[in-house]
Amino acid sequence: MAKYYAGQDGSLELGGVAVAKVVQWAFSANTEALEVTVLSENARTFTTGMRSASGSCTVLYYEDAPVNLINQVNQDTAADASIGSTALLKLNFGNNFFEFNAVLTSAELSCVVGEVMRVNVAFTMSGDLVNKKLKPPY
Amino acid sequence: MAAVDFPALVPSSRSYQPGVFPETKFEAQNGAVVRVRYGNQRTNSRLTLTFSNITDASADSVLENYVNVTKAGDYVVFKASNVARTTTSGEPGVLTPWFSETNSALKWKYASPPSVQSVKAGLSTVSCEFVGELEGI
Repeated sequence: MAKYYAGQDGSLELGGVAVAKVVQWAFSANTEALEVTVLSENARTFTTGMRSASGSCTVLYYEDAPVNLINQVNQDTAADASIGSTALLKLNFGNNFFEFNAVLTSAELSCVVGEVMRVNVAFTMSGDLVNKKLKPPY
Repeated sequence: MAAVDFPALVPSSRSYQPGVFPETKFEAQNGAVVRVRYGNQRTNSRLTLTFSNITDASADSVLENYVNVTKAGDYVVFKASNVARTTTSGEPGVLTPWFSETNSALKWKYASPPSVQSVKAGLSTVSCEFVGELEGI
């Protein structure tokens, strides 16, 4: 049976350091479709335009698990002098990964009765993928 | 004044106005109108073309055409197979004589310089506006 991936295979790295207590991450890659239809055609035709990607992740607020992410969103260089305008994110699943620089655009903290406090972080990729691996592990 | 072929590009949009017959309108205070017509041929027809997301090489060919036509005072000729194309096959259609002005004495001149909008590396959108003028009539 072909290998499948589940949540236990996933992890997230920020600047080369694994982020603890990650509940989920999502990654959405897009390519613009630029229309090149001319007057002699009956069906619309397209070519590729600019690529972009964005996504989100959810981290449980255990001790300081999401602190680096939140500092990055707030661009809090007083708390962490190493913070730049973009952060290197690596989304792992099994032996595969996407690695890219991203602007962390938002952080949403939620504290709910009966649930572990969690942080939802959204990001937008800056530039193209730095590295990726999308091969079967076996 | 010589004819210069426009590059073999099919536009993504085209807008055409057939122009007017030169005349002066006199309107009396009671609203009565008298028109004095000075010619029996249309003039000042207009053609606006847009070439969306074409290669930079194609955009360059349009700019070259503009320079070559304008510096020598020449006029542009549109073919049924490209700019004046009205059928999928490329055969002349009913409207082709209008777009190419082969049914009149008008000559297509650039009304303004072409506009080139860079979309991404290697792709541009070019807009051209032409005016049909009577020359040497």
